[in-house]
Amino acid sequence: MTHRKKKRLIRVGGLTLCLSILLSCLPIGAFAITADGLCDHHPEHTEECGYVAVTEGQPCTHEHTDDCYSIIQCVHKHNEDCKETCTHVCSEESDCITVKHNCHHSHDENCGYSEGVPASACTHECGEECAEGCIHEHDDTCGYAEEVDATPCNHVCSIEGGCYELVCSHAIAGQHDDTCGYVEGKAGQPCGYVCEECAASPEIPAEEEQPEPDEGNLVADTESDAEVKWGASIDKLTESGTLKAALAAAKDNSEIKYIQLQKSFATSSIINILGGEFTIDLGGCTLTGSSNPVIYINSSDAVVTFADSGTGGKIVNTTDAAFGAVKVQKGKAIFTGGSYEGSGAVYIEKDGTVEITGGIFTATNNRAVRNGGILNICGGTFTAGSNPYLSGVVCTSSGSITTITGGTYQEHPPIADVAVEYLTNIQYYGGTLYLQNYNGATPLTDLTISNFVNTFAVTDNLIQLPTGYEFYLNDDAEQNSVTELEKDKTYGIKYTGSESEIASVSITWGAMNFTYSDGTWNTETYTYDGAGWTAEGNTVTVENTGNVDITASVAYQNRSDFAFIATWDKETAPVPANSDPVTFTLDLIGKPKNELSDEIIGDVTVRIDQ
Amino acid sequence: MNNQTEKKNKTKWLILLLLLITVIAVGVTVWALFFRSSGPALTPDYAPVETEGNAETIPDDSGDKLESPNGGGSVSISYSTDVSIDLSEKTASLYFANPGKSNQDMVVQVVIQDTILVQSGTLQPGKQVTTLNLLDGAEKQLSPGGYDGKLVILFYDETTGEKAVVNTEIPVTITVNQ
Repeated sequence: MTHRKKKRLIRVGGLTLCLSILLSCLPIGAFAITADGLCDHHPEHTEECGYVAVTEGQPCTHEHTDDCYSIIQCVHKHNEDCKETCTHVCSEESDCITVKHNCHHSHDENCGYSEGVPASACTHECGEECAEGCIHEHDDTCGYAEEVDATPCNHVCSIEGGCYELVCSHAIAGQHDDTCGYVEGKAGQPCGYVCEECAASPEIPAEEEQPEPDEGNLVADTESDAEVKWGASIDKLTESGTLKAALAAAKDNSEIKYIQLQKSFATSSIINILGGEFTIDLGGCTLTGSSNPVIYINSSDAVVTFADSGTGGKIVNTTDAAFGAVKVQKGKAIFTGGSYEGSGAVYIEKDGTVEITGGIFTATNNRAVRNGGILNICGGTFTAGSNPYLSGVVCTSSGSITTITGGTYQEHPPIADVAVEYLTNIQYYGGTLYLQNYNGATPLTDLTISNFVNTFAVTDNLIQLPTGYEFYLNDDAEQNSVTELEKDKTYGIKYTGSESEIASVSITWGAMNFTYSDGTWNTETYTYDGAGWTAEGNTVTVENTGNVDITASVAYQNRSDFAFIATWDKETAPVPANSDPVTFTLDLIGKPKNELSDEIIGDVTVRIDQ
Repeated sequence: MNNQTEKKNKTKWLILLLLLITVIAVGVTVWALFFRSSGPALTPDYAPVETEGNAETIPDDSGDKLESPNGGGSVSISYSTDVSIDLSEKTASLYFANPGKSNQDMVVQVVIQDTILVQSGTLQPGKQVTTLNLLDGAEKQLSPGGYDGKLVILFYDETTGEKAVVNTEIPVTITVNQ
């Protein structure tokens, strides 16, 4: 190696080392995001990120003993006898141990108890008939009763029988200790840290991302022996073979106008249509796909008519994906018959056009037809999926044009016939049309209603807007609401919120001052007098000042581990409209762990449910 | 002689290159330390100095104050439980009012799964909002769909700005649109 080469090598090495050191300072590292939201930029969960691991609760293993039913409060006063060594032992006999007796026994036939009945004298007064001696025999009217002795109750009070009140601090105040094994279960919280580098975000459920279908293959393989016939027309099906071969022939040969399925078959990959003007006749057969979509039209030159010359011909997508049975990315699809089933049935992108004159379109979870391009419906039967956030028999999205002149719409209540996703232009020609804004999109605009025969009222439910939305004339700068729509005018739709229920609530709270005292040592009773919490303004009052019935709940949360607990006289209460205010009272139990001095010890949350 | 000049030139370029790399590295470090967006919003312990920009005066509001217990507080709130979020506009549409009879300023938050997505500025008594802006980056955490969320309403002393020990939560239905 020459000197020059050596020098160059040293330079390159030095530069590489320098770059390595500098680049290691950059905040890029490895873009590894773990399932719990950790990455190189957020290696540990912090208070800010909100992450809480799930903690499984453990039950308290404390078992109540006789002591849990008794209060030990020594009443012994030292005297001369116990000056040297006090021999007093607290016992029930010495009244130091008191048991809270709380027997709920009601006398019954088993306990043997009966009350005694005192004797009562006969009220009979002897008259003439008793001249020779009283002939009166005691009866119901004379009032005579013999004395009946009482019999005692043989019920014996016991702890097991529930006759003694539990005064155990474990149960009353939840004062679990190190020995009882109690662990409070905690629900986990996802990590809220958003890492811009890694684009990680908290786990908020998102609408399913649909992968783009594979566009690489001209015609994807179907089951190898899937058989179709094709030719110039239904009467001239001169060729036979696979669907792949038929589609390839139709793309390249404009004479091929008709492809007819000869048997039912399944495919696991997308069937791409990249050109040609022809009909796919289902011929009463079923094409089952486990790809997304099953058939993908992706050429502006393609015009594909779907028909069914037989009975019950189907294209079925067995996956949960939204693109469904047929997706039109570019080009045109015309549906005259057959059934199309999937999570969604037909999916139209902005460069796609679909005309539907017949056929059955059934979505299991999604939209029967999702229109992002041009959609004309004058027939067919449409059934929406069951997902309330994705459904709509027909869903139209931004920039799409939907023309509806017919069709039968079967909805999963309360899904509307047409879910208007974003800014949408719907040409409405008649029939009953229900509009539902997709996921509450607001405001909906540019609903152009033209060519319908009669002026009609919105209140006729011929056009049903979502709750809280009203029409206004697009030309009206003040956007005054209109209830009757006129022909050949364009309307905007505005959100008024007027039909949303507005609740009004007043909440009043006191000073919420709590003072804890150890009490004063009473030299006579050898006890602390006045130990515990005293409260000032410890109430929260909720008043319903609106017309909507509400339910109020209260909760107290310590700001730190002060080792005392809060109790409410009630934690929840209905507060109907026009009712009296409801007051909640807060008390604290237990001794604080630390000395407190003029501190904010906790917060009160008032929850209002409708 | 020529070789020496060439060497000097090369050294000069090398130094310049190293300087440039150093400047870039320092720049990235400064950005990472001081300008990178921080984590989720925290609940303010004192009322924000700035009042809510989208706040409007409540029409025909009486303004007669509620009676407030000594040391306590008294508020009135009006609201709708429907909240709509527009991701493209980065706004939330809702109805929330702090009527004039309240004795406290308020801050309203829209929360989904304990993540604060919207936090208003101070809403003084007599003010209402129908639109609030999403917090920075909140739109990245959401996808179109329906969510169960809550309005968290924090109360602040009108004079001292100190947060009250009482706050309110109202369950709401939130729809998120593209």
